[in-house]
Amino acid sequence: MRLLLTLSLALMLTGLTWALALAPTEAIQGPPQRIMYLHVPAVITAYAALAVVCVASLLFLWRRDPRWDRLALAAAELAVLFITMTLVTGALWGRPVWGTWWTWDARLTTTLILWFIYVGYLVVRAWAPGERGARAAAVIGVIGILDVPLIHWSVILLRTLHPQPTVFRPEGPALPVSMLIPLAINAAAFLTLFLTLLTLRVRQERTLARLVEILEGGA
Amino acid sequence: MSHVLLLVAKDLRLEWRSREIVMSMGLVALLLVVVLAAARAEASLTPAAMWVTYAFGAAVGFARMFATERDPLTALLLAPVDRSLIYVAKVVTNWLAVVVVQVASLPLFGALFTETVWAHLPALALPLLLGGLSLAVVGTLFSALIVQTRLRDALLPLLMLPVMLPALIAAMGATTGILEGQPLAAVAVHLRLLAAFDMLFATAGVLLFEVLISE
Amino acid sequence: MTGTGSAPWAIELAGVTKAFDYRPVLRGLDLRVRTGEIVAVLGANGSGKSTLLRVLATLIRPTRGTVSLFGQDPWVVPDLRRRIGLVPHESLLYQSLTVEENLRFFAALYGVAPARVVTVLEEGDLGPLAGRRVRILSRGQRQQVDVARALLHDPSLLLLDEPFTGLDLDAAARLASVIRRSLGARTVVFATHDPAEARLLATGAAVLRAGRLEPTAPPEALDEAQLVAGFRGHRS
Repeated sequence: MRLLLTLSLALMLTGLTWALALAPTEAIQGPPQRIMYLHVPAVITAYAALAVVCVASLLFLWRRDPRWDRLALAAAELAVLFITMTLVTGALWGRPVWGTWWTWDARLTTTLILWFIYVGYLVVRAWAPGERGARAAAVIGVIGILDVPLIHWSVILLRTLHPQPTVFRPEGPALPVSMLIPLAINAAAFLTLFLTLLTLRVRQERTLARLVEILEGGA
Repeated sequence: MSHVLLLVAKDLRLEWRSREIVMSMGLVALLLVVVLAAARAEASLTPAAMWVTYAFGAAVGFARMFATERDPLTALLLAPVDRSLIYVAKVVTNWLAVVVVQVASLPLFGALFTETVWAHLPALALPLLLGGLSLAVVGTLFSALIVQTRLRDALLPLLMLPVMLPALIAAMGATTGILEGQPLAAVAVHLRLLAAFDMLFATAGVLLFEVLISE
Repeated sequence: MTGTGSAPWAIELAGVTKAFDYRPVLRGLDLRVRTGEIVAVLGANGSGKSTLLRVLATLIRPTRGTVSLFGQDPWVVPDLRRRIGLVPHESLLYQSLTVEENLRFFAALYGVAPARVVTVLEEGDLGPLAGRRVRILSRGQRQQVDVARALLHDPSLLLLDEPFTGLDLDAAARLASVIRRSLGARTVVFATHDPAEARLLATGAAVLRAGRLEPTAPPEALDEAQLVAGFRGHRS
């Protein structure tokens, strides 16, 4: 635990410093382009979190083991956090560079909808406590993921404005190495932070569950 | 199969007695059409107005659906009836309710927005029916969720509409094309998405409904 | 009446545990009931009687333990539900429909001939109520219709949750005679907190306490004080 915490802090400090001070300024976009070092890792982490929610929800529905439910809940909270960060950094990046806070292309719309769906997950957990609420939320967790390809498809039918992928392209990243490295460091930092927070939160829920069990003379 | 018909017949009879669902759906739809028309009654806005109306009308109407049936649902669970059929029957009933509202609102759209709805009516039926089905499929599942967890009815729009968005976009796309006079082939891509959505979520719904309903 | 089948044991529960929200209500409960017996389950409020009945009705899946009805696992053979009838606390009727519409619906659901509805209405002396909406019935009348609903498909296993609550003397007498007449023909399990009911109607009784069943002496020998002490957790 302490190792994770130290590691994520170290990575974060390194990554952010490098991104803000050391990395080269992009020719066309200028300084605002540095938001990429926050935005892209946020996206990656958000989707990592969503993957955890999906898998944990499915496993919970299959096995009914509360441990999966705790994992799903912690991951969902972090997913909403990182999705929010993605949306905000994206908007902050978009305004100075592309002149607009928002646009209805496939990626943005998908991210926004996922935000709503997983906020819904958290609302259900908050207002429907106990095993039933856990099951209901798990259903939402699964449905959210099922929806993603459809959202993508539907918006592509409309229009596309989001910059074509410069990092995750089949031919390989189009960014110069001097930018790739700080990006990778920040991505690693975000993911480590995610793992740290996830572990913390799951432990918190587990302790709470044990406490409840003891207080009510559980099985 | 006969069980589904039996359940649907029962739901229709129940609905006929109280008319609760159709009334609440219908009134919300009416209100929305009028408000939207008052805001900006342009022909080009018709598809958006239609689907906003149907989506919110459905969200309001469906919320009542399982609420009145919480206890008798136990009887259905007791019976030697496949639980997924309960879901199927509810989807059918809700679909019918949406269709009724769609039909009833057409004159309003015709009068306030654009008369082309009448000219293209046969073709228009496709996105209306497929889109209505998508509302029923997703709405029924989330209604069951809300009732089983005793959440507030008002949460249904929050839960249902984000998931519905791709279907609504596709439905609006198809509606736009058809109202502009395009042939069905031109909007086939939208209709295909709607059909895929319906199939995917109907399957998921059948499976997940059991999870929500069981103890 | 439907045959009771060749299984000697109508009910066999072993180590049944059920937890709600990770809080156990039934803890490793065992129960065996012979076909044709009438068993009373006694217990204080909140002791888990309703949960036990719902487990027997295959409405609730136990967290642990095995359930066997007529020698088969009802979760593996869902068609067994056809032989079970449950009258729970809450009314399972559709409030906006009439008594007759309700019974016709449930008859169709179980694949029972419509004529049976008439029979059941007559047997329960519910004829005059047939055309009334369930919503306007009194609690006791609704209870009677619920019992009729449960008997429509002539179940081999009849489960009743505090069935005498709210019944007037006539209705109570009718229900008591239904239960008595079931002896040997079908298996009946009913939950109650009144030892007198157990004494008068049951061939066997057990007290549900701390999530487990404690067998008692034959109901005729049921001592009021013993049972009351059982509820309160004391030893007499």
